[in-house]
Amino acid sequence: MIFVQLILIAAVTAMAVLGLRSRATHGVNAWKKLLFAALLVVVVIAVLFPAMVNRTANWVGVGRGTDLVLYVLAMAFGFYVVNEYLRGQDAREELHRLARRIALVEAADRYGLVNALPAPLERSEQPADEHEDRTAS
Amino acid sequence: MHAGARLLAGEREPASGWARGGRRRWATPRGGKAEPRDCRCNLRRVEDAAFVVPVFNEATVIGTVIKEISRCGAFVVCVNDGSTDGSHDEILSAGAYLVDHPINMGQGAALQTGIEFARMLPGVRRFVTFDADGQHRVQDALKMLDVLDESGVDIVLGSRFLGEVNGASLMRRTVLKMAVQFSNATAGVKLTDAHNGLRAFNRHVADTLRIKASDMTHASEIIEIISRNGYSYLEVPVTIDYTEYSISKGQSLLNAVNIAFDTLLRKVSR
Repeated sequence: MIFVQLILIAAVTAMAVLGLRSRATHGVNAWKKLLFAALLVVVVIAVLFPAMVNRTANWVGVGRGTDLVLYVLAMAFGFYVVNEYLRGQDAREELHRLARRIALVEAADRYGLVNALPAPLERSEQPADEHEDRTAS
Repeated sequence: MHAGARLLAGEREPASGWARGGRRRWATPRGGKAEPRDCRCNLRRVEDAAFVVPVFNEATVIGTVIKEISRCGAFVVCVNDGSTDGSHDEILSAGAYLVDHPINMGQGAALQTGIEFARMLPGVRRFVTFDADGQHRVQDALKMLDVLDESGVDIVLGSRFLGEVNGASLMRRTVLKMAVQFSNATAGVKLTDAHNGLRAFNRHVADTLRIKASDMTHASEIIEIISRNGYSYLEVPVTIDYTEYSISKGQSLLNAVNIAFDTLLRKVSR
């Protein structure tokens, strides 16, 4: 085993521990974890048997294994960026809802309208299901 | 061309309800300043309307704008969107309702907050969104409120291109017209002016409008909401007074790129 393989496998192990440690048990997260675990297994195999990556690359019509890894990485990064952007928007929306509530409560208090304040969340404003189990990711 | 200079017979004085009493401090001019444009009599009073004015660093003009609106007896709700100048104090001393955003959240978010606050005010039936930089005319807003009542539509939108544009460059007009084309193509609502801040709408719209875009893209978003929620709408010509101040405060033309990008992204992410 060459030195770089040791480092890579140590890194993958650390990722596995950190990534799978969360306690949330919702359906979406379970699937995410399964995918993540599968990815880690593939990575370990690729680190231990680089020749397999080469063979896979040839099989799909890419010259070298390194190229295949690069392409996959580029795509994964693209997905990551879009995902983070959308998540940032969601987070901003939540922040704005909170700040708006503070502004309204403060103003209602100033003008004696506290009794007119609506419930903080109206039915159509409640976050969708997918937003409720973000804890693991 | 303005419908404003009318005084309906039998105008009554504003009811001194508990929610409105004691807040008319501007009735005595501060510092003995004369008010050159004080013609209190020629604006009809609209006491069931709330003007929602998003304010971000407008301390120099907001007082004048508030006084101008207050002449028609409407509620004035100013949402101070995290201004770092004296806007907060100016709004309070001009006697408008003040809602303070604890952080800067953008004009769209400020509009949403203002509308939600105005919904709590007793007796408010009609809503107007109005820019803080003085580019809109109160007479136009009153005309739109008239149209709202007479036509029975849900929302009345101001249009620069049915009315007059004072002081806009050819470049600005071109970009604005392109924005209209873009909006008509993406939103499914046909308008002559897509990004006008002057709107009047009824309670139904105020109760169901949810502006999510925080920045300048809210104008396109509102049009999409009109289409999605099936509001009935009309356009009314309005006059926009582009002054050096309003242009320096307004959005740069390059921002049109941002608006287009965000609109398309909203299309694919929903």
